[in-house]
Amino acid sequence: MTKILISTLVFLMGLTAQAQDPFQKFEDMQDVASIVVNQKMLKMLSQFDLDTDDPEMKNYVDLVNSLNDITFYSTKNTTTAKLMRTEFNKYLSVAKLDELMRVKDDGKDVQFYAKPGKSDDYVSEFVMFIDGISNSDDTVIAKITGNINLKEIGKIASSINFSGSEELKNVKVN
Amino acid sequence: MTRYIIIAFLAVLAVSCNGEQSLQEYYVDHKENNDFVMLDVPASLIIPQSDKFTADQKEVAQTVKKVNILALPLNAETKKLYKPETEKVKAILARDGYEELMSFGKPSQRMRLYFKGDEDAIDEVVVFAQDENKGFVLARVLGDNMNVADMVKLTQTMSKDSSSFKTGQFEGIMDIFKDK
Repeated sequence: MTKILISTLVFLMGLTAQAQDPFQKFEDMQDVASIVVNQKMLKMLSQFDLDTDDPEMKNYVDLVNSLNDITFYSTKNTTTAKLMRTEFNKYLSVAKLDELMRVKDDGKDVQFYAKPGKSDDYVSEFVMFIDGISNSDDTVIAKITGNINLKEIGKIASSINFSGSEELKNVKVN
Repeated sequence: MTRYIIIAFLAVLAVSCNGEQSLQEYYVDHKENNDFVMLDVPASLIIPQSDKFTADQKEVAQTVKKVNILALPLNAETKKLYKPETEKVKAILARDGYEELMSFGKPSQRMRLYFKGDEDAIDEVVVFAQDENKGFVLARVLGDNMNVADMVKLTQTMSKDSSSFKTGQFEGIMDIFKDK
């Protein structure tokens, strides 16, 4: 009996581990460029300049320290982009994210969503979707988790050179 | 009857052990293979012990033991090896206790960074760079409680005295990534 219980448990654990990142499958698709930065990498990066006196740098180190992981996926392929949109919409309903803002301009459609964190300015998860299907531009999914200060998120943009990362600078907090 | 079960069990065990190749074994297996380029660099060549180092710096330099590089440059003959070999390496890295630090690129061209140990006491760093037209490079930095912050400080001191930092050893191997 116990054996069955354990194997069910292990099986379920395997399932949840897989369900953790629904966007991961895009990594192995042709025409998809990606960046995945894991928590340990961020922890190491924040060790780089520990004894810095520059307040700007210190701020940056604090920001990096507060993040868990960063993932970016982008594609110009229309079929893959449509799949990204479907996957993204599915994720929105499952993960119960709040819409932060939506920018439509020049045929570009950028959406920001977040999961509430410990206070108004902080979120535990931040997701961006850029729909580039209509103007045959890059379609981008970005997901950042951690204890994220929304006011600081634009700073991540300057350190990640990736399609669509500059859109992060447009995140505004009332 | 029991005997047969035990024998069958041992046979299965032997087979599964054989299949579970470690990264070290992968290196050793390809050492003699002419399709691959192998480079073993002792740390003393990369970070030479300098008299100018303080005791602390010497200690940091000593945490790096050696650098192993294994590369598969692609040509008409080795082309068919690219897919099965990159998949083998990926499978080993996923299984052999490595943690992925980051990855970037696209399926045709990607770099992945892995490590083993604790984040402030690293035992091994692995860089796996692949390009479907050029081949792949698998580089391992082996050490003992390496610390990123200490390393950065050390390289900063070394770049001030740039003659002590010999990167010439790697130029040959990087040639395979140059456009032909």
